[in-house]
Amino acid sequence: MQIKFFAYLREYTGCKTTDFPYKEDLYHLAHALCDTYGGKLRAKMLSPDGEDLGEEIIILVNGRHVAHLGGIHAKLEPTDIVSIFPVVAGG
Amino acid sequence: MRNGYMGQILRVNLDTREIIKEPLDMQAAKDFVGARGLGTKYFCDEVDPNVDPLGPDNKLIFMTGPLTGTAASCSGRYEVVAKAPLTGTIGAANSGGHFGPELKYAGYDGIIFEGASDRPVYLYINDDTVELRDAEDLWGRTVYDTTDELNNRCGASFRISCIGPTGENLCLYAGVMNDKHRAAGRGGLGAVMGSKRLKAVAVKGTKSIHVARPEGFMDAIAHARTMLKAHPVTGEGLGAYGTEILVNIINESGALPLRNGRDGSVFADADNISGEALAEKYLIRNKGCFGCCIGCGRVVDIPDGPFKSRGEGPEYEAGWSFGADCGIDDLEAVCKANFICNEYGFDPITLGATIACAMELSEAGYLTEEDTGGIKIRFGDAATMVKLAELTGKNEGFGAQLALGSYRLAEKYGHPELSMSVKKQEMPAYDGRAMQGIGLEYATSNRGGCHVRGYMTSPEVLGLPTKMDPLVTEGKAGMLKVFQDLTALIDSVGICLFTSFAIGLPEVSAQYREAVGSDESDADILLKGERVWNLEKKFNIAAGVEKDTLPPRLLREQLPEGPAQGKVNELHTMLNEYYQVRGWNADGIPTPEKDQELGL
Repeated sequence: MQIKFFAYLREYTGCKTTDFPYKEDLYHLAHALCDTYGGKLRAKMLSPDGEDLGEEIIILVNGRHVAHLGGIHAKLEPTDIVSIFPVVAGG
Repeated sequence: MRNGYMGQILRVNLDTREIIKEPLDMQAAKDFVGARGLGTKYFCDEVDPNVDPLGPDNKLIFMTGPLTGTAASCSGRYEVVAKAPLTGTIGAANSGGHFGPELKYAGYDGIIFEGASDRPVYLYINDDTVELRDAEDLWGRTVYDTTDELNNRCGASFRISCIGPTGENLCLYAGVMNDKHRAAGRGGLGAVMGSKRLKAVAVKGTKSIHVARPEGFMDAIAHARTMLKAHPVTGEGLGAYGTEILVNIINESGALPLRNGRDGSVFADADNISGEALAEKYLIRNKGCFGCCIGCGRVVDIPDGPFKSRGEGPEYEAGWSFGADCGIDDLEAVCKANFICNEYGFDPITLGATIACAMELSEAGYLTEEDTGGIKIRFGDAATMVKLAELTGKNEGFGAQLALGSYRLAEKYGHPELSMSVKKQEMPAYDGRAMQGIGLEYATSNRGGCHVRGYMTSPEVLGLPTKMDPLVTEGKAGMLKVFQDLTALIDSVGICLFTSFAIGLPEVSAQYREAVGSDESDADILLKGERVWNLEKKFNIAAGVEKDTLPPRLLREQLPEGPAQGKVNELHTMLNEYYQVRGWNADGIPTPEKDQELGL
């Protein structure tokens, strides 16, 4: 599945986008991404106990915020595009 | 000096050249706080709502807030108020930099300009010395040149607010520019200044601002500052990437209007014009306004090529207007167009959206090369976009038509429905079909299409302070009212709206209370924001401003792709609820009971 990283998360991952092995839900995808890219990403991506998403991350699946798809337990399809941002704002 | 206020305003009659120093109306200050609120209160008390915006009877007000220039974080803000020539609504535009604080240090909370001079002048303020001085030789000069010359003439430590050539030429979206790169940008208040032949205000001051409870004030601002530094948006993201950081997340959310909104809201090349690209390729350093701990400003250099230039910005909105809205992914061209706006002193949101409108009119065959003076205008043509920006800045050729904004342009060529505007002001960089709440925000904004009259992007996309589904209408009316009232309050106290990503009503209220010596509750203080909002609305009603609605495209044309595919804005399902939440009748008019509650 296609994963996109934005802002300073790109510094943590060393890439803007990657084709990543399919995971059935966001929980397993998030942990797999953190295992691959390391502690800085984990600190943003996951809560300290690893059971929830971190407070400083925004994840979209096919453009929809995961808050509306079941949060960390959102189901995923192999063709999904997952976009991962740090909390950002502007205007 | 009176507890956050300087207790004095300047009244400058440009007909008679009389300058009066008069006491600040402290009851009005209590009720309407300062800056946007207090400026609007003075304006509404003194000006006929049906005044010609570019006539001598329109007044132009500069007003600071009680926190402006204090030790509060991000307290560099002031407001410019007049009837807006672009919209015919109340015009209130907020700006940062250092001008507002300096005005207070000179001893004045604000300035009211009346009448119109028969020749170009500027206002010189050096503490108690206030004079109208000749500006004949400054007329026609750019914002940068004018600022440099006045600093040479008056002194390097003077702070300058001025207009560029677009203000002189009465471009309907000329801004009032200060500190070269900061803008009270929207609605055309620079044209009001130009109509008065007032080129600039140069100010320097040495006085101090007294706050009512210094210890409590320091505690309140320290608490707010700690929150601002700790928050990932205000403490990290905005400083690193600026507001352009929004390009990718808004695009990924399917809400970045593409080619005047004609082709939906997903731009395949968005990353090329993003905050990440700007930081990687062209950013020299970030920059803050007075007292800023965020530093969202961009100092940018385009080192070579056809758009070689150096300047500040672009903000997200300008990145979109010259980028996706024109179908352009050339960031160098986007930067160049933005710098032209700063130099000539006009609003990049309206300019980019007006060029995008011209592109659609042209591709549809409604606008011919005969009409444009031989210029072929097409989406995606970066060089032509920059050329049109220059022509508009100079009011030359087809640029003189673009200087009237997209509504008047599209109307002239028989298709006003292709103007992506509300109340004749162009909507910014979020598609109201993909974000239901921001559609309601645009429709109900008191100054026409605008993103900082509520900023529903925060809950609908960013999840601040809570996450709302952008595709549904439920709950949007109530949330928007709170955001609109809080925004009015923040604009009125004199701090930057961006602080609200990290701090909320309790922190804003605490700083206000300690500065002015109030014991009012948070709810009482938020009510002042609502009072400001309703006063603006009542002015617009009296001025005969058109009803709250959206362009037909947002109401009828379904988005072709993306997460909001098939959506239009369901304004009709939100608007009645919004009026009810506001305590207004079904026609959107505040009821007598609401007027009584707010003391209006």
